[in-house]
Amino acid sequence: MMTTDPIIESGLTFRMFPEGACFYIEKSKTYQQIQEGVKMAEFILLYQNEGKAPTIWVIEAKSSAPQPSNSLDFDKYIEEIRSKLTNALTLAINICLKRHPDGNIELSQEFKQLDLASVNFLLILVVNNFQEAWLPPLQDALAKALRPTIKIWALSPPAVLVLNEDGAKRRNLII
Amino acid sequence: MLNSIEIRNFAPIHQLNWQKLGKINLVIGANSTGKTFLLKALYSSMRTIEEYKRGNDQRSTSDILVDKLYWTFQPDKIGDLVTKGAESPLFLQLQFDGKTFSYSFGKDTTKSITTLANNIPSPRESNSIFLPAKEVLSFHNIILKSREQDKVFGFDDTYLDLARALRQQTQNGKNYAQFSQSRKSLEDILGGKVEYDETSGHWQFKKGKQKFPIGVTAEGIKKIAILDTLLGNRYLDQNSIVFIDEPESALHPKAISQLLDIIEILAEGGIQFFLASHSYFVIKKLYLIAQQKEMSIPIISAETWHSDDLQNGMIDNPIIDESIRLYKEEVDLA
Repeated sequence: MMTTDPIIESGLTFRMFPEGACFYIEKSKTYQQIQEGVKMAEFILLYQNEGKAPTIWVIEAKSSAPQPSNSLDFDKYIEEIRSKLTNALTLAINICLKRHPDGNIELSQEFKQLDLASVNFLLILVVNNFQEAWLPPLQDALAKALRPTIKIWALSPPAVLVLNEDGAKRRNLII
Repeated sequence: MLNSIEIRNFAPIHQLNWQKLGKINLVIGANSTGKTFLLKALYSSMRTIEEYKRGNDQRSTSDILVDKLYWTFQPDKIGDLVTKGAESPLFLQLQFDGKTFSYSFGKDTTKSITTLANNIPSPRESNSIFLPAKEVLSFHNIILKSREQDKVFGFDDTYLDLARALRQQTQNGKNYAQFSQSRKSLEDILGGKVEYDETSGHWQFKKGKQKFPIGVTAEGIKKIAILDTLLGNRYLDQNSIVFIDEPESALHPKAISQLLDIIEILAEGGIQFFLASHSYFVIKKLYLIAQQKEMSIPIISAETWHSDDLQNGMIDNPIIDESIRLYKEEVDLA
């Protein structure tokens, strides 16, 4: 489903995005039908700046990440995020390709009109309450895990971003 | 500039084929994998090309190459440079500005290399230089005495050539725009200037009106000062090749980033760089430069001699893996 309402996930309130730009893939009818055994990122954003190739941002939000003060399993965590981002990217494109009948109804014209050959992609993890100093190794690890996806989809670097709340604010994702 | 390199059976390098070299090239790998060795192999070839037919020098390319290999690697005989147990001879081939330089020799070779081709126009006026991981200003005179008077092994040709290059006086007058800009940036990092005092025969660090002996000056300052001096005394020009072994050694991460920004400016000005490193900061910063400047920065891993380009993205490498491993170890403390 497309939305212009602020998305609240993992304690983060994302801003209102322009009409036709935000596909709430995790809540979409298409995903509801295939969700058994398929993990999904939260939402897909379309950025279109004049004079630049359009960019699709695949966003996953988490309330926490492995850090010295908790005992989350690092490898499991990275694998979960990798899987969610890759699945969201693949599903979004397959909806654009009209392989899912409901998806074609749900998706905005803005997405449908995209020339998929020239669009850029950015896979983004936003972590709430996370120190800036902990971001680089998390970003390195996620980028490494996503390297096959980056190669297969020929994504231009930097294709992966890990942001904390401040970083997400700087990129105008949250308020 | 160097366009491609092919090496076989050169001590730790069993087989290497590195095509499409760029203005900045990075060699990564753990200790004892052959990073420095590769840089020295390239340096000795470049100096052979540069010394051939220079001034009144009448030595053949073979004579110069044998001499360079002997004094750079300091083996008992140059045949010892052939990979132990290799069935075919050592082979090296460079493409330089589209022209070929190549040589080959077997394990019994002592004083003459008969299989050699040099199609590079001579004399080449530009100089290449090798900057070792350690600074040389503190023992500059010792290097010169050890090699020029005593003629003993210890300091290899990379040290001797550098000590000699630094002996040239800094010249006043207009320098290349990128060189002047880079010298200004280098001196900003230094917070002063390093100068050679003819009377005492020693280097000293000048900060404002104060002068300090080079011995009490920080290692990192001396390293930066070496590059500054070579740009100022015109030993380097726009067609030079600079080989830097571990640019990160003795430098604060911030200074590493600043130095690499300067290297990028110098590369834009024409100088070609080969860096050997095992620093997280070096690989990260060069990856960013490749993205920001849309610049090809070829990278090769000394573990596998597999090459890639940082412009295509970060490659799998043990440096970043170790950073992640340490982070996981820290997380596991919880």
